[in-house]
Amino acid sequence: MNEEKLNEYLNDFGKAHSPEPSRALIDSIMRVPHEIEKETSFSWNMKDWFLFLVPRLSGLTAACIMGIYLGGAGSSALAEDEIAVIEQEVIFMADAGIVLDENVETLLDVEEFIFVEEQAQ
Amino acid sequence: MGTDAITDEDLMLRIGEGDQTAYGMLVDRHLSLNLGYATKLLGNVAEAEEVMQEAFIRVWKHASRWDPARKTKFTTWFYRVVTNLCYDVGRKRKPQANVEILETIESDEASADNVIAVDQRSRQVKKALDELPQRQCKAILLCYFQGLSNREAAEVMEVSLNALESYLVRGRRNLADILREDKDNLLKEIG
Repeated sequence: MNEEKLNEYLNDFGKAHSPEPSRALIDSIMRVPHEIEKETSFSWNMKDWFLFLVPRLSGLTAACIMGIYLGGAGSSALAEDEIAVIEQEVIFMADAGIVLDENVETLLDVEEFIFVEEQAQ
Repeated sequence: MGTDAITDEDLMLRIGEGDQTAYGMLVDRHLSLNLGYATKLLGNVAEAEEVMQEAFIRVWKHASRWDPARKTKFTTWFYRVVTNLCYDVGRKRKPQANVEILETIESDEASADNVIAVDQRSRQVKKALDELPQRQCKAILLCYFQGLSNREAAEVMEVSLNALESYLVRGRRNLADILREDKDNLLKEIG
């Protein structure tokens, strides 16, 4: 194919693929400033920094204070005592059966107790 | 001062400050030409319109970060944006969606046969362009259809001037070869 013929083909292609923008497209593109928020550029302005930092630092401080307050609300020693009481809990039923919770240590204690009781008999 | 005296780069700075009139002027200047470019790359007007919408969203969003000190031309940057968006669309496109949607050719005086012939030729060119390596295709579109100088096209493609000229020469030669093969095949089928 010679240059002249190629140019002819390219011209036809150019004509066929050069659409005019539709009204709908223009409208939607012109609506962009109303619908899309601009990206804010980096600013050295002190007022901007103040407005940026104050709410964030306030939130962080409040979260820290809340954490310290809630973390120090109860004694750890007392909590351990409460757990120990629960582990030793044994429920005596009316028909002399013994129902235990599933704590292994408690189960071993009771087995020893039964063994001692059988020996005594 | 006429609006033509205001450069695209000045308009970008004004858009960065939220000037909607400047944005409108930039749309007026670049929408039509770039829509044609996207349509040629994608072969599909609907997809090209989506690309243009996204491209102008980027203009609006990123204008505040436009740095005149970098001396980048708006057209160079914008062609890169449009090209990359077109390639993204091309990658995501499903195989069955690759349908040719050609514009109706406006030619009142042209006969129906002529319209069909023009349509067929433009389809052949589109098919041939798709077969070209991406850079050769891009070089032809930018220089031949968008009217960019070789230097401007080289900037858009981020290659040297020599490389761009090489892409152009090889691209045109390959295009002519592909079109000639198509024509020979068609003649064989008819014969």
